[in-house]
Amino acid sequence: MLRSSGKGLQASMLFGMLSEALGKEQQVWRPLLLKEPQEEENEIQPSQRDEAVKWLLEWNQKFKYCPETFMQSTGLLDRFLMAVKARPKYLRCIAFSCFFLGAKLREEDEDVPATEDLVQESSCSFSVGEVLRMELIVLDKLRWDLSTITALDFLQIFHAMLLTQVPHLLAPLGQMTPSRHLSILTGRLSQCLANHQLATFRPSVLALALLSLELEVVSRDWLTLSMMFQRLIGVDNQQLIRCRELITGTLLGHPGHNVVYIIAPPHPHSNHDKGTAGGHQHHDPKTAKRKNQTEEDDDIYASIKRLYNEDTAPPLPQGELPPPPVGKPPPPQGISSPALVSSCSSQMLQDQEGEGMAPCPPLQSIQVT
Amino acid sequence: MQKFERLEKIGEGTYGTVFKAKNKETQEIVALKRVRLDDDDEGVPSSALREICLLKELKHRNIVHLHDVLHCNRRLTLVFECCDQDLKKYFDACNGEIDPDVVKSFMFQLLRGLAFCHSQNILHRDLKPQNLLINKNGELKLADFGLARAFGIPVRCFSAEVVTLWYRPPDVLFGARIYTTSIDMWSAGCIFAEMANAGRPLFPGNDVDDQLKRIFKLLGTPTEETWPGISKLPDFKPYPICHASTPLSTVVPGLSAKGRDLLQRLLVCNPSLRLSAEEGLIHSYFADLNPALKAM
Repeated sequence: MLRSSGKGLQASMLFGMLSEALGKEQQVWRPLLLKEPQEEENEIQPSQRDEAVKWLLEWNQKFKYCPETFMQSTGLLDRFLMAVKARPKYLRCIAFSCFFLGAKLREEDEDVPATEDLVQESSCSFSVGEVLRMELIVLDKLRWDLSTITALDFLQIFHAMLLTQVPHLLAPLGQMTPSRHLSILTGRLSQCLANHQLATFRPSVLALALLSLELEVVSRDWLTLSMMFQRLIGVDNQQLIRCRELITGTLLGHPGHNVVYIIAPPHPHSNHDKGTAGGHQHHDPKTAKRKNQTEEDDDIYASIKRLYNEDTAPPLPQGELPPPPVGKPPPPQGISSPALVSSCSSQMLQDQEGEGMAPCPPLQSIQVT
Repeated sequence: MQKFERLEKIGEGTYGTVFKAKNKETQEIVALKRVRLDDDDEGVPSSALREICLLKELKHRNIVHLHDVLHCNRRLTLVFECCDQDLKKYFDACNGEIDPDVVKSFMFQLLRGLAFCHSQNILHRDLKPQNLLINKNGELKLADFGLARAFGIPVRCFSAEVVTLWYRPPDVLFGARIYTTSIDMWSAGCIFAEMANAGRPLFPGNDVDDQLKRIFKLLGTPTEETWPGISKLPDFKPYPICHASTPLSTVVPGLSAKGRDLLQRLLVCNPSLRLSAEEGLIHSYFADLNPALKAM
């Protein structure tokens, strides 16, 4: 369930939350930089860090903790691994201590079992004493600074902004409710955290990249919506595209993930496009319906612009939908599975190159106070 | 720890002893909250962790400032700005009379600190006179964030075991686990009335049942009409129907009509109709507040 609108969630309030979050991101967040170690046996490898994040996720699910707890634990783990050169044999105990701290910080006291039970139920082999010693080591190394900002914070804000302003956004997904939709996205985000390469992106960028992939599935206007967020958080196309590609790869590499959902055609209003992952061709025969749709879309833009106080701002260079790609777009570099990195990235790249100038107005980050 | 010269003991917090101390280098007077770490197997107390984590984000003149966290020899010390006393002790010392202007000033500062917490998406969840500190300049500061927590956009179930009984809102008394900033606004209302009555608690109940009876006796028993969904709360049980018959003017005789109006809007059983801190700050009761305090 999400906080209801009315008194709860107003556009200005969400905008304020985003502004606060961006300020905090600037202050406290650092990219995860793990060097490929020289001596493989004595230092923690990036792949081992990813393994540890998967343990965190497992424990989090086992104790039915909220995703915020997992995000907090992962944030603590990454900061610790950057601060300290630890040996791989301690990694499980380090990860568990971060989980223990995350639980105490984010869960209610009545939901955190006694340390002994917590250790036992997590099928870890170390003693309570070892966990408590490690807890203090982690805290000391982090200088008792426990504040974190996570991609989930941003995902929740972006999602609420979208759905308060474009309430019928999820209509193409059938019976999808906003809270279920958010929890699906949150699940994907959790998987993304287990890829250390994605931990080098700002949390706001990671959240937007994930959301923009989803927007491409549910809305024909995904690019415009995505670009508006892009301007709000101040990220360039290249970085966002790279992040999207990595996310796609990460989610596909995960067994059991609903692949079809990800590569669903970016044209949800028409069934003809199913399976053509590049389909931005607007060949919907129902012209009358389309007209209505366009008018509806205009309403969306009006409300989105109100949300961002853009009524007076200069219009976007592409006031309407970007033109469909002509012919086959040149494959962007560094794409591992071309079928999946659908038209999105190439379209974004094409926009950038095609006009011989910047595709969107100079990126401006929003004022952080 | 050689940095500080320990002065007298101030009190016992949720998870440790509080001492007054002097920084030997700067001569600054601080409050030290001591936490022993080897007492049990639970490691650093969760309340201390939350307080450390949340107070880093809450830098505001009406919220107690956490200067530093020191850890050595299995002892954890939180270094806070020092305030002379808490509101409870202030009541004890005031001999049953508080200047109405002081009440107004304290209430304004309480709402301002609370509005800031809420704007940072943090619930205090344990507001009571003991947790409001007063310094000699008449500044009021929110303290003891050991039960506080951050809240996000998706609604989560929280603990119903929060807020000291006398200041606990009816929804939480009925076991509500889904609540938001309105939980603190009820406590603020109770504290407002207590200040206006120079330290006499408004609803000094003995247990949950007695607490609810006292509340309903004054405000009237809520019904599905006045509070849709009340009967679905986890620990709901019907109470005899009372009608609000005692006028507030007899309950808080020292409070002006505007003050009573503010109180009335805070003490609303239905949490969704309770005034927010932000709204409270612009209530006409504060119209004639000393402009210097408003600007402070």
